[in-house]
Amino acid sequence: MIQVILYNNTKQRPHMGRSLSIIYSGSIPDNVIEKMDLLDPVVTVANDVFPLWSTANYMYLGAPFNRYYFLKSPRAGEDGITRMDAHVDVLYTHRLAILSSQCIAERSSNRYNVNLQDSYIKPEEGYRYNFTKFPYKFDPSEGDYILITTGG
Amino acid sequence: MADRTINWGPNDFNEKGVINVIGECNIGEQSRYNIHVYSKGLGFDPSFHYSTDGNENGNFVSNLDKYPCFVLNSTGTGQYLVNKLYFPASFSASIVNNFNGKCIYKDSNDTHYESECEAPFAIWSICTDISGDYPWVDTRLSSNLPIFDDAQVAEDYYNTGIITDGRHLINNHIESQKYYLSNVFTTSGDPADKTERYYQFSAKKLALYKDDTLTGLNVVLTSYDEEVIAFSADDPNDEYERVSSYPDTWIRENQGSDYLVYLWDTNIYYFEGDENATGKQKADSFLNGLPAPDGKIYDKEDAVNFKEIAQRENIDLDGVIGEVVHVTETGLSPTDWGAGVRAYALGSGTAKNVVINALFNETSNPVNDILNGVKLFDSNAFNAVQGLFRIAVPASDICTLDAGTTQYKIGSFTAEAGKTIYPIRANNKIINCGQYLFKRTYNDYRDYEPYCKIFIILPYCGIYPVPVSAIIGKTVKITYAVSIGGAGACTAYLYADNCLIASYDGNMGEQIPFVATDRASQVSSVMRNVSQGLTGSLVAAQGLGGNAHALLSGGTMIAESIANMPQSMALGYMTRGGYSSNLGDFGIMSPTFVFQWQKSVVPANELAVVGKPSNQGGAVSSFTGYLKCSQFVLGTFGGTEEEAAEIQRLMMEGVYVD
Repeated sequence: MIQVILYNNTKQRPHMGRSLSIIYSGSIPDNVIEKMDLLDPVVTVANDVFPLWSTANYMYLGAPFNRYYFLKSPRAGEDGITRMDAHVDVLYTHRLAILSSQCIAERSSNRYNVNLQDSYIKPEEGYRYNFTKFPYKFDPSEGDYILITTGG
Repeated sequence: MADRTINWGPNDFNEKGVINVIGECNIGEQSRYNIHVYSKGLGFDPSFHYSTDGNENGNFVSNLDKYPCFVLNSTGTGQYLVNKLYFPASFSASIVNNFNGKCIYKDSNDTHYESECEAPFAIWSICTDISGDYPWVDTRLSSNLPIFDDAQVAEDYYNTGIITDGRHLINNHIESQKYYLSNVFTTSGDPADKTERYYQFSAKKLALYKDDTLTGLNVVLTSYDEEVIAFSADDPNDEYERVSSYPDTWIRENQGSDYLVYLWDTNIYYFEGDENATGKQKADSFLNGLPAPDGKIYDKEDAVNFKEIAQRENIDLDGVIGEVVHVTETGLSPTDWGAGVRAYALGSGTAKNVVINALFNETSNPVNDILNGVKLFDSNAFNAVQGLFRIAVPASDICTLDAGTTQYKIGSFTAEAGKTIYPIRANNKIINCGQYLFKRTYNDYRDYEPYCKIFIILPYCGIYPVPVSAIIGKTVKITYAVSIGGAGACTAYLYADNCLIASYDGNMGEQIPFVATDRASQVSSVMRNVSQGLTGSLVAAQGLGGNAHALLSGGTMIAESIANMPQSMALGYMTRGGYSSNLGDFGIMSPTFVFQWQKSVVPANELAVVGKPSNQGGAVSSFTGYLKCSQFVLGTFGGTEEEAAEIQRLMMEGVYVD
């Protein structure tokens, strides 16, 4: 048996966090997982439980998977079995490893440098001007004539 | 001392038409002070103001035996402020009288008084909450005198000129800075008992220091003054909210098995003690700018985390080359004009006509006597006249003058001037054109070239580009020196935060052709002045990283300078000062800065949706909101290679850390 938790998730990638509402939590037989693929498992869904699965878009599979998965739209097979493809959610499954990893940010919402050029700020036609005049004003009409002579 | 405008009163002082004077306007030496006071309210003229002499220009103050300053002090219930202006007795009496013209205050019994006070301690009080016949008064004070908020510190300064505690000096234009301090730790060794502190501060200056007498939370947060505004959040992703208090002590490093630190992230400088000074002494020195007990003034580079913060805050990490200059020391011309070769200030207007006419008046100045007096000059009187020119400022603004006289010397002949003229003793005064504190506009890269360009228009000197970084965020001052011996040659000096950063040569002397033979040489002299002026300017421009090539072309300087700018950045209405003759008289008359910014559009939701350029490094957990990595190194990871590759791709494409 494999632990399974079905969710409705309303926060998608590229968010790292998820907003999850549990729809079902329980166990399923190993053979329900048709494709034992850690990254892209395929779940076969019997007709009697399909309504439950069809409301979910996210799931967690316990050991040996231990991962969170996005559920894709169900596929009705020619053999009368409905299959749901899943894809591992690497951001949420490995969020602790990611959060502790080192990076250099190209863009960030909280740690940024406003003195770097920003391609999202577009130049607009026109210019702003400011004239700042210092308080002192020369007044030539108040200027002095200067006479320099040699003599003691 | 930079100016600072202080408002107090029940309302903001921002009505249209109220002049906000933040610059000093005076002439002469350092010991001139400007004090502008604006008040409004019933019974007060809204434009009512005082300056040191009741006019725009401040009085000249010299040889003070004390150090004038202000102290602002709140008393009673805080409904009114009593402001004391410390004046030395030698301060001009007219100034004191002006200030004491309105001295309104109330005592602790709520009794109103109106009186005049006497020097040396002139108490000048403004009530802000007075009923009855007294109006509400909003007051704005602007001055380059030190303004303290502590009476003892003010009095110490008044007596000694020494600022004993810089934290109480409130007009040193230290702006509030944004600080943050995130600290997650446990004091029990149990990760489940983690304490999470996420704080942001708005304060002039903060510091952290290690207190070796404490255990556990042994890092103390201290501030430059009481004006610390704190914000806190339970989760760094949440909105920070204003809080009335914040913790004094924090923890930076693990101690034993109980005190474990999970997060320490701050842009506040942190000091630790050594054999010379304790951490607290260093932090206090850093905050106050005063020496620690070991005699050293500690600055940010002495902080343990300086390099870490410098890298993150994009602070220049270059080493100090030579001694840091905080104030440029300047000199004054010592040339004595008292005898031998003398210069006379004839006056303005028609003064020249009167004196020259008198020289040719046979009655007052007999020709034969003149010829006898100038035998040393081949009996050519005009060989003894070294120059006649007009300058654009009163001689008293740039020279120390002797007492007025009606006679002057040509050779050994004493000529009658026909009016009172003033012998020049020394050419030893500087014209102070004022100062401004220029602030950033966008607070991002658009405040700098090529998005912002700044030109300075200097009367009689010309127009020059100024590097934005040289003046933004600094108090900029312009002074002029004018040479009498150089027939009106002048140099404008540009200061930023009291440091001289550039000088520009010009000429404000108009040569008056005295005799025909002089004229050719005077024109030649004028042309030489032009050449010299350009050379001097070139040096200044090169020093500033300016457009030296443009300067080489002299009169076409602005045109070429603009031609080298992006087409759309050109200013089409620039003027230039004059290098010669009276051409500068036709130009702009006040030093003027011209700022030109490229208009731009910023998406309103940019920060939330795509963030802003960062280039900062750290753990992903130190980022919130949008994060797009230029480099990402996955740490300890138990997944597959394919998953690692997908994570790498997603982080480089951009994610929202939440």
